[in-house]
Amino acid sequence: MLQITHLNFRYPGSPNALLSVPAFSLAAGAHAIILGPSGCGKSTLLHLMAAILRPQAGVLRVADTELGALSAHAADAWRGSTIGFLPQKFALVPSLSVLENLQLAAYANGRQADMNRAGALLGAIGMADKANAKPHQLSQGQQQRVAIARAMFNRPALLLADEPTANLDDDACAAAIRLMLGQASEGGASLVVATHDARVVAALPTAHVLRLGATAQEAA
Amino acid sequence: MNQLNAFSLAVKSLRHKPLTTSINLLLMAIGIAMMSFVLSASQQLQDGALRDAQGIDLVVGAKGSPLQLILSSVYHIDIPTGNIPLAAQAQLAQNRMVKKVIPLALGDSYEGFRIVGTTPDYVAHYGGTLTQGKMFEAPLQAVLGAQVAARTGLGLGGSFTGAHGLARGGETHGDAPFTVIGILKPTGTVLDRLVLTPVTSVWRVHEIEHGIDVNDVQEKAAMDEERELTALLVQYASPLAAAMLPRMINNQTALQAAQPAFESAKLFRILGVGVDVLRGIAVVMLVSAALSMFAALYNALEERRTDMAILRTLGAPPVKLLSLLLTEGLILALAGAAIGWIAGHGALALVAGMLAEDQQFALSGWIVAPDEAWLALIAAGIGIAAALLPAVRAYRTDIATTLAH
Repeated sequence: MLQITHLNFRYPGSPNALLSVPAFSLAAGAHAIILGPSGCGKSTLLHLMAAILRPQAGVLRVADTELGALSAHAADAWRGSTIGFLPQKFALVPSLSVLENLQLAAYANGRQADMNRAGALLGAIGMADKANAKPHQLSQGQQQRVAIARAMFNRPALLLADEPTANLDDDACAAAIRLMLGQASEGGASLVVATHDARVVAALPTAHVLRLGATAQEAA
Repeated sequence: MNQLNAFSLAVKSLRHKPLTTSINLLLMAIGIAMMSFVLSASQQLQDGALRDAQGIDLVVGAKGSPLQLILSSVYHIDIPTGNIPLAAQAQLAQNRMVKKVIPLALGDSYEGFRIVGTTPDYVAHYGGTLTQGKMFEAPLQAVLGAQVAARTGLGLGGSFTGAHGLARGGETHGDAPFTVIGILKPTGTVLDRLVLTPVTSVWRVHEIEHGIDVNDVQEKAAMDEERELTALLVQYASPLAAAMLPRMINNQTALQAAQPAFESAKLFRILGVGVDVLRGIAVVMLVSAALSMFAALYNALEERRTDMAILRTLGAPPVKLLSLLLTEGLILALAGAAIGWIAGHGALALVAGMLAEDQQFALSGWIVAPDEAWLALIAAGIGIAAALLPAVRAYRTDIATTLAH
């Protein structure tokens, strides 16, 4: 699912900030946790895995695709069909209902939204009765569950989650992790979570751990 | 449940900000309303003026303002410059450059509609045909234009008395009632708003007024000498006449010759200033609509940067974000334009109703000037222009930095 060899990335204009991952790999269906203090490049690594950013050196293969070789246009299409991305902010579109936020995944990808899929996901996140609710009517935990459902809508092979539990209480945190694991195993997908939340580490005992050092961000 | 598309997403996004959206719709609507009002009204006035003056090459009347002569004798919206001797008609008719002379005797009105003493030629000139009754032959027989019949409710055999002057409420000639003998079909010309009668009627009314005994041969002869007309409508026999006849009449006689084409062009130049001012205000409104839409879309984009980044993480190519924002601008502008167009024509219909009360111009609220087609293009242009910069910024959304902050 994931192969990293001598991956290097440096933000243009910040010569001292360097992300470096010598080697890491993950089998299909296996999960990983990226650990490290704030600012160590966890988000950046997720963005690289989603082909939002491109590595400057090294090999990054995700789901049998060498990301360094993808054109911008191909990267968008690849991302839409292969990656589920859960950003740190829940980022539901405020003008759209819960159901429409799910449909957004199909729209972005240029596909017709599968309404059975939408219905099943709403059931899975326990919000079948909230299909027409607007995001501002939901709790933090509910919003996070909708965001997870949206990320999983296109049946991605890899779900990338950036600090998914940062703003959640223990119950919501447990529900979010359960949901991500359940959805991933249902589709045989891998889950990669960037976090510094001990609750996540405890909940994923079998996950591979990639530890990024503080030096990654501020090498000087 | 419906699928999402650029249109539905844009509409949902606009409805999410009802106040901003309403203000932008309103600004756009006001600009387009003024534009369509001005375009349709001026087009209709020009078309109407052209129709009413069609085939009338020259108007001969008493000395005075040539514009007034045209307004009074062709459009029937001003008072005449004075009277001319009856003999002028025969003299002019003998001229080889003249093809047709139609006499007009004006002065009285009925409920604000003008009573025009003339010949059946005048009715024929505007292609008037009878829907009921027959053409006037004898004095005090009247044929009503379609609008006159409709508004006064007079039918065949009905009688009425003219009032002196051209406004309502003048002194009536109670001793000389007219009888309605025919009613015309609508022609879309000035004819619809006129009461038509033989020239002799107008003379008769005033003879009776002054107590002249028509059976007294001497008095009648004296009267005949003094008989007058108000104006003559002239059609040329050859293009050469245009160069010679007006100058000849103006120089050699006590009469005045005015050319409808020339005078109405002058009139529209005067009106044109007002039209230009209205158009200028409309342009200012449209520019402020464009700026306001731009500000709204630009600010909204700042709030929606995360939405845009999310769409990208879900696989949307940048061009999809570009088209989404352009669609939003287009919908806003075209919806505003549609509202404005309806409002502009609604206002015109209102004004038309008020003018109809005054028996002045025949305006319709729902006649669309060809130039109005441009308004749709202008609106679309404003929508795209206002949305372009926000759209390009959406296109360039940096997913990584947007999601990181």
